[in-house]
Amino acid sequence: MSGQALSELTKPHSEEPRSSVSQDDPERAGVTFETHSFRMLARVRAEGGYRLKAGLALPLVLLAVVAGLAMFGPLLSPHDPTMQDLLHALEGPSLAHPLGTDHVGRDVFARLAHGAGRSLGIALACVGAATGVGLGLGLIAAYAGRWSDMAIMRLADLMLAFPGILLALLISGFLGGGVLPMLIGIKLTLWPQFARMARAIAQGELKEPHVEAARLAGFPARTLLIRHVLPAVLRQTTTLATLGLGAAIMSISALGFLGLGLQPPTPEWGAMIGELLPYISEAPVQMAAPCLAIFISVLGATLLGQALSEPDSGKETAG
Amino acid sequence: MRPALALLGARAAQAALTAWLLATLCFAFMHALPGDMALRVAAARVGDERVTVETTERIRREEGLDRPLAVQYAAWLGRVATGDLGQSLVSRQPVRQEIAYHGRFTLGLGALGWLVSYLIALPLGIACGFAPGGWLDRVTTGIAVALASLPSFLVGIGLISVFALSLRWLPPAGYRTGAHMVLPALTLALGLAAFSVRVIRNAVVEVRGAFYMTFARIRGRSAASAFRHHGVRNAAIPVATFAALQFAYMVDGFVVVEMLFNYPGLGELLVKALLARDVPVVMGAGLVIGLVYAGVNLLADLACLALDPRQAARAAA
Amino acid sequence: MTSWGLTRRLLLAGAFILPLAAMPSLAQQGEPVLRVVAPWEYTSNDPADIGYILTRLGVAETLVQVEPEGQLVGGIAESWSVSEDKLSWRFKLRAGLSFHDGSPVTAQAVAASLKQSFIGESLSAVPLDSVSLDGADVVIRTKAPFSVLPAFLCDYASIVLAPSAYGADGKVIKIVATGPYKLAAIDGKTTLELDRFEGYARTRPAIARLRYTAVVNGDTRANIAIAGDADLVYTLSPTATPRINAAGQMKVESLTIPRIRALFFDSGLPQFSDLRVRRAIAMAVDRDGIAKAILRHPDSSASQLLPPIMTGWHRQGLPAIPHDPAAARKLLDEAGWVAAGDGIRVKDGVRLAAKLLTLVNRPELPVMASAIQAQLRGIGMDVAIEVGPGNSVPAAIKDGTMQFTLVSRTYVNVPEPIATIIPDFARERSVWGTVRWDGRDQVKALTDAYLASFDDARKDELRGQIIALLHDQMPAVPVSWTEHSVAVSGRIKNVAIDPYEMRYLVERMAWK
Repeated sequence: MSGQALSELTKPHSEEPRSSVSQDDPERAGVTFETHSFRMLARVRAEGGYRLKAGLALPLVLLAVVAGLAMFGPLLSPHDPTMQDLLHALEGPSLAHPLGTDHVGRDVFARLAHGAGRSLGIALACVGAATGVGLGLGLIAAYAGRWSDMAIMRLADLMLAFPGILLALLISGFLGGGVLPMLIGIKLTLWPQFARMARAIAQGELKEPHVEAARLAGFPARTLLIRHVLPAVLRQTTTLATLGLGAAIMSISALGFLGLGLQPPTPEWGAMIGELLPYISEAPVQMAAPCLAIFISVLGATLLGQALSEPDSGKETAG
Repeated sequence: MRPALALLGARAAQAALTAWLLATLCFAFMHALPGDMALRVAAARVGDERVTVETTERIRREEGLDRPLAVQYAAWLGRVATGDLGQSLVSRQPVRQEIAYHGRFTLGLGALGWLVSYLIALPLGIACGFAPGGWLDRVTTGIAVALASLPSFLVGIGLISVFALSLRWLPPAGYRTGAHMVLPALTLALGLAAFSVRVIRNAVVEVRGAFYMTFARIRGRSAASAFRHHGVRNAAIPVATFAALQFAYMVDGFVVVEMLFNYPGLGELLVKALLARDVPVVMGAGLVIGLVYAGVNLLADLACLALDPRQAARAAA
Repeated sequence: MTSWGLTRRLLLAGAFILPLAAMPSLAQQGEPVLRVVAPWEYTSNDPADIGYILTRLGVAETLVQVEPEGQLVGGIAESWSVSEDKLSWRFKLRAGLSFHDGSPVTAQAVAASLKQSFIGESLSAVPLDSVSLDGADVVIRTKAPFSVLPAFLCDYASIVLAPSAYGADGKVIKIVATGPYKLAAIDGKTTLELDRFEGYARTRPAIARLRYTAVVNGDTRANIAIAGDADLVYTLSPTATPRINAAGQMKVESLTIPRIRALFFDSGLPQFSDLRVRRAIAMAVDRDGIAKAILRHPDSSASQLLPPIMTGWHRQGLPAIPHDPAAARKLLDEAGWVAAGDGIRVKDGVRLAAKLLTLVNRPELPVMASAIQAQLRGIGMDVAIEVGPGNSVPAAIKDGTMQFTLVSRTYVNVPEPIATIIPDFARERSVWGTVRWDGRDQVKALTDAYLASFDDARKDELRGQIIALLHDQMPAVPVSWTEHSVAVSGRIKNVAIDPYEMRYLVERMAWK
């Protein structure tokens, strides 16, 4: 099965990988044959991983910068992010406008700061919703087994066969942009991996002696799943969720750039880039700011996911 | 051969189901939307500013948009069963012809992007794999992480700004000549190479550390010679699987890249058909993309079976 | 270990050299081809859909054509005359014309082609009675006197095609027309290859080959102009002009054309039914500021429907609309709209608030809409902006959700603005223009008289009355006229810009 070949390739440091991997190995079963860029990201980064020495420090600093921008930026800037001042359009950085003004004289820093909250908020909501739905369905599949397992996993397979951004694009295109369609679209592309991973881990966990014992002792399914299985699942899905955050930020900005995301004049990074593109030579700073913001957020999420996936993060791995 | 056949059957069934579901979803979404479909089609045909009530009503009549939804859906399914995807509401060309025309461009761009990504990643990845932790490895890793953190539209904008607008080495948009293909292919390739360089590097590192390589070295071969004789084939298995897998990543990439470079591929066709409410084209494209997607999955699975007979043996057991 | 170092260096070099080797060789310019870039895709063969591409490129011609200066001249027809009862028009065809397939342009062929054109809706405004033959002439009869028939015959929907262009069902299957250029190849929806038609009798174009490429995205068109990857790039955003000129590859030429950006109202709504409110809005809008800052062309500020280039329809005597927010506020006070706690005015429980619908396909419109939103806020009106696709305005008018719109509207679909003024202002529910405006019957009376009049002085008088009525009653508030910008490469000369957007006139251009 191809999933196996992939888990092998993402475990480059094991001695004899091709014979040692078992299909039920919960750590690896979450990584099956998947075709979405995010899944590639997840696999390559989290397991085969880019190992920078940065460990947790760099990603946390990067994410703290963006979170700080989202929380305190709007307070620091006296400007309304949608307020136009046509007489001061496309002005370079100044004391009043630290990042200059855009093509209709709106303060770029204010837009960047308000956009940070929106981008991060929607991305978090997407990942949260995807985690919730994915974990729930994955646990049900693992515990109930038989036809519900079959149905849920086939549904996950089907969703995985949908090209990622295309689905978000279809839904946004159909529903006409805005927060909700984007949330639905991105969530739909993310949940199957959480479901798969949760199911695989839960299956392994349910076979553990202490869980087996609890079941025999007559504890109800709910208690079993929530008390014993969920914590293990959550531990393992944190990495996936962090990487999902980066993927969601990229999707949101791509939709905004294509004009299918949040509608103007809502400040959003991708849309800001799209709007300023015709003025790129006149407004390099204003253009660079949202680009950098996207880059920093995604990089932060990526590195954090990678650091979390390694218990010995910070230690140079032999290789 | 039996596991291959079983896999083939299961995958084919799944592919058909996926494609049907995708097309049905497209149909449902299209019709669930507020707004008059006939009006949108009319606007796409004669131009927004020349739309009249009369044109709209004629199109509604001629294209059967006034029939009940179930009837329209059943008519479409019936035609698809006979291999006919219908006609575009806007161009009135057969959908199959439209998809074949645009699909050709997407395939060409995808293949080129994929090829270029390996021309970059293969030498770099192998070089890094021979000296893990060295300066080249670290620099490459840094660049790869950075590239992977950039949405493809930013990479595209960067390339256009530098090579088309500032240096003027290459045209900024179009598809006519090889020169037109360079920037879109490079945009795709950089995104792909960011991942594959790492996979190749890891595969090389792994193989070089393997027992048979140590054995070859003990027998007196040089590192490079041992790698050539024993390592390449083993390292190729994971890399080949990953390479097939990446083809699917491009489905994501090509929508943005085609829009950015005005490249007449499937992604562009789909976005425009969406805006014009050209239901047959959207459904047809959905069907085809679903099938191709499933087909690539299947090919990768089969390649896996062929490359590693031990898997086939295990699957049969 | 020596071989290892060598290998690594080789591999490293390969990483940089191989991609370059893989690049296909850059295209060679052979025989000169005029490269034309414009936004419109060749989506089908139906003249009602894409006829304008064919007329602009000089592939197809109509009976009557309009010169850039505005006078009507013969196209396929050499001359025309109208009968005593003003109902029967006789068109004398040019001698010696032939279609692209070599067949002669006969009265039979022209009449058959025209009959097909009149089946569609584009020409439904013409009160057509019959199209018939009289010897070598084509005779068009109308049911009522229709003085602007020649102008209507410039419409691209009435291009003349050869009998071989039509299939058995009367639909166009291929383009066999009469223009100076003929279609050599169609590649998808984006590329048309054209060759000079050697059998063209009227002139011999200096440029032998041209290639038309449709590029929908305006930024991409601007990029092409900056990179100089074309000879003519049509319809550029005004904001791109400085960059294109600075890049030095192409030069932008502009002309103010009869396309207006204006606010249209549903005057049946309590917010807009009072003329004083519409006037207050007109005075609150900062036309000059918008023209300067957003459109970057101070002259495009518009205080009446049509620009000076439309000599008959631009009325010099009309007073300009001042930008005077104070007077606007006073007018609203007089009209009984009183500011409530949140600064938004209220009258009889109705808030002075409305949804402004504008379009995404002209990128300056959403920007202008948000400027107008801010300016109207200043007189106590609350505006919510909705940005829709190109067809959202007709859709909103149709389902009754249109409140007011900011759209870009051309008044020369045919070279006679009356053809667009009637559907926009003389109907209760237009497709693109006003809704429930109480002055529509007055406009209808004037336009009916205009259509029936064959006296130039009387027509000029009626034109003045129509424009004055629109200016006085403000069913639409003009904001700015449109600059039509074309980027031209250094390789060609004799480029003319047609304010009617009917023709690119490539046949009159030449290589330098």
